[in-house]
Amino acid sequence: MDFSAFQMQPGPTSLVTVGLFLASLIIWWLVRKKRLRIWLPTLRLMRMESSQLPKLRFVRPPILFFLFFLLASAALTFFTFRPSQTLYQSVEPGHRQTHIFLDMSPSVFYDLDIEAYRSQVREVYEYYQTSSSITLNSSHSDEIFQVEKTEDVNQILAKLQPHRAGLKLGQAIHSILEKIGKTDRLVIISDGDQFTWSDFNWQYLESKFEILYVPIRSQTNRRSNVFIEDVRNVSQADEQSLIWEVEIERIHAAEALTGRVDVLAGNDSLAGSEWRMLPNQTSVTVRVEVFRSQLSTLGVGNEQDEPLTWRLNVSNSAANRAELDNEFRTFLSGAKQDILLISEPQGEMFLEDPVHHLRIALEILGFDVKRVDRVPEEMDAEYFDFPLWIVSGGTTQSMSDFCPDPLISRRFEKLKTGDGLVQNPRLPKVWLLPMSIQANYQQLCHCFASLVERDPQVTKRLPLYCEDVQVRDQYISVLRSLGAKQIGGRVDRLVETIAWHWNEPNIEFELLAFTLPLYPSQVTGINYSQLPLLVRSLAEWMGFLKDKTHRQHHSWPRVADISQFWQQNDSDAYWQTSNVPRGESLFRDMESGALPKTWRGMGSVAYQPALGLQEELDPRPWIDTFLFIIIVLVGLEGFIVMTSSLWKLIRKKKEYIVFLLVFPAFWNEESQADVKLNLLSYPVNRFSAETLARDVVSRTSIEMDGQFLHEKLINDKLLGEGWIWASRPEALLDSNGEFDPKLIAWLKRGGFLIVENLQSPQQMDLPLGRLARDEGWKTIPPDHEIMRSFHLLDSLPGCQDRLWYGYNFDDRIAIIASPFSLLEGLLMEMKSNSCVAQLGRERATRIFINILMVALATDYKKDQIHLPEILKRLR
Amino acid sequence: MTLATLRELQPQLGGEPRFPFTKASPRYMGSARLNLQRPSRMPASSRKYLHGDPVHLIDWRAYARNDQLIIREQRDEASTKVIICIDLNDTMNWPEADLQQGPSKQEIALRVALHLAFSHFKKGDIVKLVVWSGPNKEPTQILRLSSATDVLKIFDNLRSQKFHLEPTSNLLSPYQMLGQKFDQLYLLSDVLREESFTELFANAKVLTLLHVLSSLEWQLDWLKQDVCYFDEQISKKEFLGSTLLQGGRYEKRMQEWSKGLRDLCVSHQGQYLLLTDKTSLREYLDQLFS
Repeated sequence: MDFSAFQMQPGPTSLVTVGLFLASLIIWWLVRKKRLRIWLPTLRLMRMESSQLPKLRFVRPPILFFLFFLLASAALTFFTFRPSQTLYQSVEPGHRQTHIFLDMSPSVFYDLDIEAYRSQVREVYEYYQTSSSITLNSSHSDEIFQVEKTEDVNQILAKLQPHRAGLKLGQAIHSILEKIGKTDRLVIISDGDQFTWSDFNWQYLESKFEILYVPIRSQTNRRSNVFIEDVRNVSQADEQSLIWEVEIERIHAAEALTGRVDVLAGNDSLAGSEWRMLPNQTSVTVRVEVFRSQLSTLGVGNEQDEPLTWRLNVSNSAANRAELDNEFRTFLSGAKQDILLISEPQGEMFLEDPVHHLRIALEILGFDVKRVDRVPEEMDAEYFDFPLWIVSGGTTQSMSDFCPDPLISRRFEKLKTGDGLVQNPRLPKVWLLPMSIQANYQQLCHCFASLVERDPQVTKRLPLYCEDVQVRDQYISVLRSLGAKQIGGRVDRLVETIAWHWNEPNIEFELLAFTLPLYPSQVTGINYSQLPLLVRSLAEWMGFLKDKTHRQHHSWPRVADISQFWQQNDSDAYWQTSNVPRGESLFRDMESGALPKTWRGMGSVAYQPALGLQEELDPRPWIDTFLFIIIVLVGLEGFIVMTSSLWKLIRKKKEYIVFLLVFPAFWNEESQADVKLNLLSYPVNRFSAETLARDVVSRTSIEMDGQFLHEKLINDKLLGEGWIWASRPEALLDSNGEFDPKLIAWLKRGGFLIVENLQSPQQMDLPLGRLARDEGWKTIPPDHEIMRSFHLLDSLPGCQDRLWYGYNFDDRIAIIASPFSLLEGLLMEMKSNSCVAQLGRERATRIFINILMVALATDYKKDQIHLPEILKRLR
Repeated sequence: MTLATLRELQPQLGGEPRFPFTKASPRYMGSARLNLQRPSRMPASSRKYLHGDPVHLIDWRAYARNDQLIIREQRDEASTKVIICIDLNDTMNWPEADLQQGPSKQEIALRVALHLAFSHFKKGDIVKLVVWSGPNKEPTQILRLSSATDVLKIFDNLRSQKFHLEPTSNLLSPYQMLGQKFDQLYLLSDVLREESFTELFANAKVLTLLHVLSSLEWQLDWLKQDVCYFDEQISKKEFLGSTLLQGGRYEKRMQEWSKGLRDLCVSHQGQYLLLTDKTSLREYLDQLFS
């Protein structure tokens, strides 16, 4: 018994009980001083007050009974303390399908050996191994393993290491359940980490199957941890060295801490810095400088996906037990600058600046946007690192302010000449946007033309085809005539188009000329929620986004939920080295009430009641214990008193001993009378009388036995019973074709015979010759007692023109012959005989009960004593 | 030599009951003197004239002789109807045998009753011996007696049973008084029963209450100071011996009670006699038979 779960709640009752107990303790010792008492009848004449209380004195009580009293009182007193313990429920072994989910997120492995984790998994597996079929998966992937033996588990576990990505159980379990379909029990081996559990609505699933939580947690209550929260590149592009800011955080700040943070490229250390945290300081930011020259000597380029590894060392290892979050990765380039947004500010950002919303939408998608007000005069190599230029114009400003055509042209020229200075030998993709719906479309047309044609002449002079462009429709038709492809809208409804796409594959130049400003407006029909989706679709289409979430991880990914990568098949997925999400480093526990039933080992489960409720307590074991103690004590006392008084009695009068010796002879077991089926020559191996017995017991007050006696031939055992069912008339006959004289005698004695499958009564006439012939076979009429002995029946159903016959003897019906086998219909499937099948089970049961009643009580309704009751029921 | 007490009383002992209207008669026709008067010549039947005597009984000749009014009368006798009622209340069975303090009140009462019955039978009276037991208002059982011989038989029978007469005894038969009148009613009781006996006064011309007590009840010299004395009927009344002996209050109370009963009887023209097992035979016989 686990005494940690034991609780007592003493109350006023306990106090009263203890008081009573102490008082009675004294009473046990106290007796009235014994005096000789003499009856003096004349005292009733005395008009005097009675005398004072007789004197009391202490006497040792009878030791055995006193002991019983002490024990009983102690039990009772203890019981009033309301002892109870946390309710445990044994795990039902009946569940056939168990799925074990292994949470291997970083927070689980705080100060926990992977081997300890594995042994816990094995323990859980081995507990359920015998009782159910077990599937298993870990949070690494949605691959489900069907495990048959412990070796399988060991093999799976051997491959598994903690992953760096976080885990959200809600999404993960949802995916798993979709894959495994139905399960009876879900066992989650996890720590109770808030980050992991917070989105998991297990209460909903609990109504569908059993959910158990196997806690994996180090014994340390106060878990301290130091981790790298963020690493930022704060250097400028043209600087000789890269400056990084490393933000280090810790939980449970108390004492001062020192340590070092190092940056590595592959296995080569690049630089490092010492850091120091004062007492009660929770975070510190240190700067680390990496020289570009150092990078080039190591052969590390300025490629975007080149990783740097940051490693945290803490001088006091006790303050930092979690290993995984000591490593942090960044891209070498730091934060990327993806999009160059050229747009003149129009006013206050949210309300008046139409480009602001576009910028937000792009940032939501994970793009970094650099915004400039106008096209720079000078050629700047940095701008060409941006793969996308978004140009918004067409207002009062001149075209040269927003249209980047000179830059593009010059760049194009350089590409053509193969100038080696160009680092990024590509042209950026350009989105040309009208600033508003009433934009200067002529200007936009001019810009489009100069970008497409890249001719300085075009830049200087408005092309002829743009001269007439005044409104949007004209702009659209020009774009169309120039050969741009329609984006959005319908073929026949050019007005609805969003943009026109110009593509020059040979020089990888793409231009997207929008016919609508990209801001939420009733006029454009774009609302706030549509804008990011629209932008995303376009970005995806133009290849800026590999997939929906691609750009969101522009810095080194920090995967909050590993399950979102389960569906991706690329094995080289960079999330495998992702940074540990902050939530996994904080080690915040769920409140115990918000977790499912907890597995406690050896199959017992503690109820975890809902939040805010008191833990459910179970007083039953204690009630049982006290009850047992008190019953035993009372029984013992009674036994002792009885035996001692019997002994005295025997000593006093010796003759009682004879009575005592004779008494057991009269002690007899209660004789039992039950009704069971006595069958003669039936195919009993297919029979089951349980249902019939249940029917009889539920409808009548007769206790019918579900077992039956079956014999193949008439014998004494069968004839010792009150009634016999014979499967066919031939079964009753001996080799001479006659009835056994014993059977005749049995019938005469009062036996009741039911013969089934009788073809005609003549079949039985001859053998029955020994019985009184005068009464003989008669068809059972509709007013026969069988029709009303219990249920009211219309008639007994015939079978193929054959009827039920009854043989009367001694003024009672002694033999009933049925034309088909009623019992077969009741005791086995109703398919063998069409007559039985037509009858139906309910009717057959009613007939059976009526026959049973007649067999037991004959025509009891004729008895006048039942008349009042019958009349009462008839009314 | 110790004086013989009622413990040794037997039916045959003693003389005749003294009854106001009886006188010794050799004819043994009964103890009741009839009021039938007739003139007689016999000098034995003579007496002086008293005021109120019938004039026709005056012996005028004698008056002529000696100038004195002499009445010559002769009276006849008849059987007296006697009923002897024994109270067999549970208190009459005291002192119980285990107290080992002499005979119970019931024994004394039975001895006295049978003695009275025997005496009356001898005189030729009609005697009924009834038993008053249980919480009844009047006697409900009768001891079957028809002659002095029966009395002796029953006496022997009861003596063999140590004078323990149970209400269920086969010597008893049901009986109803039904307002019958008797000349003489003896009531032998300790008068401790709840029901009053005064109604019996109506049934008899003369009632003699023979108040049977145990000498232990009458005199407390046997009491011990530290012994508890109680009464079963009154659950809370329990007295230490010292309390009862203190100042002789018990004895005073008993004497007051006895006097009260005597006064009650006298006021009903009855007789009262206190009998205990220590009452001497002589005293008893003197009181009733002198």
